Amino acid sequence: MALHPSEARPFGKSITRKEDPRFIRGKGRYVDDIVLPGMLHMALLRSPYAHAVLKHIDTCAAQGAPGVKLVLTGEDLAKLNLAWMPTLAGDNQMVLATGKVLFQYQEVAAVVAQTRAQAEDALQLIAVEYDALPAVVDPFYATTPEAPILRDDREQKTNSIFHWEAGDRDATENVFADAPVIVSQDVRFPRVHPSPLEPCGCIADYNSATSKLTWYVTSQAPHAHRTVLSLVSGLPEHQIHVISPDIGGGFGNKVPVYPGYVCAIVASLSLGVPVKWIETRTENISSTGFARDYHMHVDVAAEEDGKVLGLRVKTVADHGAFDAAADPTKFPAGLFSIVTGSYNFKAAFVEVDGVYTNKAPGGVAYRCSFRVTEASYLIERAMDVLAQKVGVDAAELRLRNFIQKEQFPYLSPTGWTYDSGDYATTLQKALELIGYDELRKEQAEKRARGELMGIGISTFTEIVGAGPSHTFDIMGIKMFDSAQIRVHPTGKVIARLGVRHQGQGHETTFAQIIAEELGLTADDVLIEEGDTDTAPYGLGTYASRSTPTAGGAAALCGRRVREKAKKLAAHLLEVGEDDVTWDGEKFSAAGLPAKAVTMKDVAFAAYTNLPEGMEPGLEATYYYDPPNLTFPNGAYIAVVDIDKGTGAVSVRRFLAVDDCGRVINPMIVEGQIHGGLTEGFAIAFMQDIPYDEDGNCLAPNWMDYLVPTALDTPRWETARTETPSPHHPIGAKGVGESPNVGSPAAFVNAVVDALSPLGVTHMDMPLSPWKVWQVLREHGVTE
Amino acid sequence: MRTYQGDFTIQSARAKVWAFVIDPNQMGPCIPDLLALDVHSETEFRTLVRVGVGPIRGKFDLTSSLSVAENGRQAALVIKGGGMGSGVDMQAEMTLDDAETGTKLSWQCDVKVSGPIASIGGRLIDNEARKITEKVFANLRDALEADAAESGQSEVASSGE
Amino acid sequence: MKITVRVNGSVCEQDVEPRTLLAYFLRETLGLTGTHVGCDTTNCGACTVLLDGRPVKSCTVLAVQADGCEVTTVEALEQKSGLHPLQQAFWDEHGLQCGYCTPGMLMAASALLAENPDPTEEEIRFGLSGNICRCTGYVNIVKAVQNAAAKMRADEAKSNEEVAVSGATSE
Repeated sequence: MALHPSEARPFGKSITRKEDPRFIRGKGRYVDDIVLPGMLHMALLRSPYAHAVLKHIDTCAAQGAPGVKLVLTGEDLAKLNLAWMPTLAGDNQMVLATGKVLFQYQEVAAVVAQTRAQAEDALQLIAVEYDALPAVVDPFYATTPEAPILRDDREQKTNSIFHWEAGDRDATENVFADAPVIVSQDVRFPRVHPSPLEPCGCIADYNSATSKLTWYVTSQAPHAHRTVLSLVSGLPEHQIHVISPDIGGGFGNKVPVYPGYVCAIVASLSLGVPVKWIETRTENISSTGFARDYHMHVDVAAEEDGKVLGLRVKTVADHGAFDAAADPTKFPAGLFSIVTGSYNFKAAFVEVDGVYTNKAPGGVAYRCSFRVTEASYLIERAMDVLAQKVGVDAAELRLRNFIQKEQFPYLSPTGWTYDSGDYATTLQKALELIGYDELRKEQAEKRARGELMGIGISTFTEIVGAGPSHTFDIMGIKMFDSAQIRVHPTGKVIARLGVRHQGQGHETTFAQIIAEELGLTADDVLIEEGDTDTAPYGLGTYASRSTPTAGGAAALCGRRVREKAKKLAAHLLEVGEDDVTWDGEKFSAAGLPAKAVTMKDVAFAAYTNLPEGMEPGLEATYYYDPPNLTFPNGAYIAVVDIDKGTGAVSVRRFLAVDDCGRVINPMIVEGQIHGGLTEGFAIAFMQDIPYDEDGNCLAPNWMDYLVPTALDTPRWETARTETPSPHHPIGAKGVGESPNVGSPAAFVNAVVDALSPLGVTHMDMPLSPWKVWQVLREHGVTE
Repeated sequence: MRTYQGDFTIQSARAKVWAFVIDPNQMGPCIPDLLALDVHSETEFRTLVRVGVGPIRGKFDLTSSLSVAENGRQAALVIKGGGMGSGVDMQAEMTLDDAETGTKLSWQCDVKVSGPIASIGGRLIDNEARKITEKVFANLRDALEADAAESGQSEVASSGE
Repeated sequence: MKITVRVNGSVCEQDVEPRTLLAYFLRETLGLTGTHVGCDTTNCGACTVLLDGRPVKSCTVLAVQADGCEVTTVEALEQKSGLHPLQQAFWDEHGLQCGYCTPGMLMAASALLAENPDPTEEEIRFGLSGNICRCTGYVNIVKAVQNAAAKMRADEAKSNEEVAVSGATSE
């Protein structure tokens, strides 16, 4: 069982979470729990068509409906120059449709009424005349000359959004030209959705007396949202107060700004009262940031013994109607060029083409550091395709190809500098813990009996923690992060950070970091995030960046406080500053360990007993711009059994060995891994958002878009290796996304391994029983 | 988009069948679960119908417009509208041919449904749309049959799709 | 429509629209926001409360159906004597992350333990299979329920013993 937050020297210890007491009592404060005086409710009318001319909207009946205070259409917003808004990916997105609708469930009108039910009722009274147009659903068709141009608002009359390249084309071609072995595979990463349990929503509260807008919103990046809002609306930034209260999971879904937010703000500005908008689950899945939808083609060049030489990747990225990803500006395909993974390629060349289709907009990083999930899945799948081709065991092939420990810092062929890792040790540990050799023996016996058992390995490398700011920005805002520590006279601390947790446990782990730096307990440190009026500026929580960036800021800020504390200690101990030593819990005079003062003593002195000339108070702010990203990695092994009659896959065992550098709270890290594996499992076996040929979304709810229950979910086994990040102030790397990044390939590799005696070399996710059963039937295994 | 089609023979003269199918006042009531019919002109009419697919139930407001492709033989009906946040676009074509025992009516209907009905009721919609479409023509046949029975003719041949 | 519901021990008489769902009645009319709404289709269980002791998804129960019934929400779990063993166990075992599913999980788990004080892991997973958690992967939720069940059985045994002892002395 975990320790109490009153534990001394808390860094690295499993202590219970400080945020839990409110949640277990039902006293969390999520956006929809907030009720303000005079608050109205908003609902959105959405398009039934995926692609249609918007001929006419008649809102008369809705305006006269009971309780209705305001009806907004795209034309109304156009008068305010707000019919369109910028996306975080540098594209533009319609707030409310004008002229055309471009995806099913697109926002067409907003109704504000006294109750939500009245608003919903009034939506039914809005008459919209559409002229249906042919829908573009296939991203490959989108860029053919026959396809209709979807975005006639753009100067470029094409459905192509971007073409992006990384690596060295010529060097790669040369490697391929001489390669003895080349394997190729088309691999699709399906369209999935982060689907946090709490849907998105906000309350916009404009006070005309103070000209201040308070905006309560499900935001993973409140500061960035405030800046964007200020730029778009023209409201002065200091008059916008963004509060991101408790958030019921985000997983990347709560990074973008959504049309409903803008409508609620416009409504509050025009009515002068608070307006609440809370989306339904259907609205969440059908219109807010989906993830992946990458159609990838990979070629691997190798020696006959399976030693890799070159990697070539060509990808079509389906972004839907608007590029509403939230990638750093210079990276329209995110960090996808990490696709060389953990392997020592000589050369690599990667191309990604983003295209528009008549589908929901997005391309967000779902529990993923900007497309690293797609990249990891692709390379880990490709390594197995290669292993099968050259007839080398999947584990052995990886061991032959790993970047060696001595090669770090390692410059990858696509330009990334990996900080640290010991891939072989991590894989060896996983192989031993799961009993790999025994499992292979068992598999051989089972195969002899015609049974289908598979073992899948994934030895991924992640890339997380954007900045550094010289490379990464979002809409020009550099991707650093921040911490501010105030030590109060009694030695109690309030610390504020620029990130915003959504279940990651920052109130505990960041308290542990700061407490460790200051010689206090986590109980002594109150962490506050998500309030732009009080917290220092930061870019938010996503892409596993909180610990690499704000965690670094917290540690360095703590050290900055300690510098001043040391001066105060010297004053209290009546020795020179150079004669003061810090042992992690107290300052003492060199050579006189009994003569000591604690941080509490020092804090009191900072307000009551200062040396002459010293500025009172004990606080600091630190903006941390990391020198590099961090590169967590891991070795995952899945063991599956396939039912020959039904095609159902049972995950018998799953072991995740993660190396995320130094660990602040092992209990929380393990919890993150459990959760990420479960999401990876869902993606591998259950999830996809298909569209029919008319662009109808066929999985806009949890009846059709499946999320695993306790019964579906396998039992997870976890272990760790620890290779600290050499450049991070506390050696940490970030972990929340690793299990979601690394696990899908392990599952799919296991299923393909089970089916490999049938000649199967690849299957696309999700591996539903139906899909597996079809393969079994094709090969005459079942009827 | 889904396409449904069928044909059947009515023991009635082609001119009589033609007069029926191009008359909104006679064709309108053939729509199942009709709540209201509002004939605007000889070729335009508006209907309010009750529909239900899976968990979704409500009303559709549909505007129909009839056009003659070949007088006395071929007509097309374009139906557009929707309700409950969903849209329907139908394009029906009817062709009359003289048959040994009366008039053969062949029909084809392209149906495009959009919105929550299409996405949520996805699995059920095919049967439902087929049922509704077939019902329209079955009603039409019944109406003409009744008409024919009144005029002393009783034998009707029909074949499904 | 006028309804009378006993919520967490207090009698509430309210006029509600017939279409009002119990979840919204609890959250908006009574301000008991511990009960959450996560989906529109009765899949997620974040809104689970006890209706006459039985767990129900309050987004699929009309408030008028609760007329004359007893409703228990997460707000009633904690007693003067302290946290409910399930609350304590969810905290100790890290059975929650974002906290959004937690109230529903706690209510579903309390109903499960009322029916089966000593469930196997499989029975716990089955008992909670109507409740979705997107964060924890259920490992620690299952552990928490096991831990709470053990604690509750021990408490029960202890109080039985005390009854037996006091019974013995009075004789």
